[in-house]
Amino acid sequence: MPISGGETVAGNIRNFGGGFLKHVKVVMIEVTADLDKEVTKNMSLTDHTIDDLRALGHPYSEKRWGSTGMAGFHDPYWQVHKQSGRLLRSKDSGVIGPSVAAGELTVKGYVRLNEVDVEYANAIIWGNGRMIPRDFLSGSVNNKDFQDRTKSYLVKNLRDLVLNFKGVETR
Amino acid sequence: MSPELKVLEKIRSVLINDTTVKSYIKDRAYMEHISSVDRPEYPAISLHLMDSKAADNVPDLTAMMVQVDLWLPEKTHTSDDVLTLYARVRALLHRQNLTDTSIGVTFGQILESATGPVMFDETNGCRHLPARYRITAI
Repeated sequence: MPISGGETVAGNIRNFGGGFLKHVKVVMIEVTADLDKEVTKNMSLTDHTIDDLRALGHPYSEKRWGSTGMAGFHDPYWQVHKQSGRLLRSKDSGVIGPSVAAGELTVKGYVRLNEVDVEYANAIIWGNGRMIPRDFLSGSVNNKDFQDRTKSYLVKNLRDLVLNFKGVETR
Repeated sequence: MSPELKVLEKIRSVLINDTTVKSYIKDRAYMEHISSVDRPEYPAISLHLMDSKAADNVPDLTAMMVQVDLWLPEKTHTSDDVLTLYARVRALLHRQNLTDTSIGVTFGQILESATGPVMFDETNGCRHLPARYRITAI
């Protein structure tokens, strides 16, 4: 069945003016700033130096957690230590949109790393032969407290929206 | 047996019973992350339960995220091999209706949700391709 009315909705949004789109952008900037803060927290542990971790046998595998009774060594497990600060410096965030197409308004907020500057970023997020994946980017996005807080803020500020939380995206 | 273990066991069974997958890894589909396996042999696939929780609105339904990692030694396998194996694994898992009455598990859904880049892992000399699947099962 053909879907009609999309152009009307898009037209109404445009007619409503740039003010609404600006409002949407401001709301998403706020949400993205909150996510950025969470991700920054996830990658800023300072309770162990690299020497401490080496002495502990680099305890980031399920086997080591279990065998050394270190379950919950870091809770949540995806949090990582800040060492040189290189990883943290490679992080940035932003907002794409809003844009209106076929009657739908879309706006996206993101927090990302520059994997060219920090070549080991993927090994942390996806794991390697000695370490389970510790996805400090998606960890907060999938966290229920963050989702509830964000949802509440968005519903309060933007009614009738469809909300999607997405973790790591590479394609 | 927990729902999570049943899910991992079913995925493992699907993979090692496929001719194409078997031609690459034989029966080396480990049910824990490769970093937790004592002296793992390669090529291999490892399954890693990332998180799991009871579904909000359906009794006995569990929602979980599983990472499926492909590990193929660089010396013996090309990037094409990695992508061929990846495509086969995805065809076997993504959006499939998986059920196993012998262990009592039925998948509500299994969807590929993210895929990493093909990486070279210096710790084991393998080409590594991870993919995450969002799963509900009962």
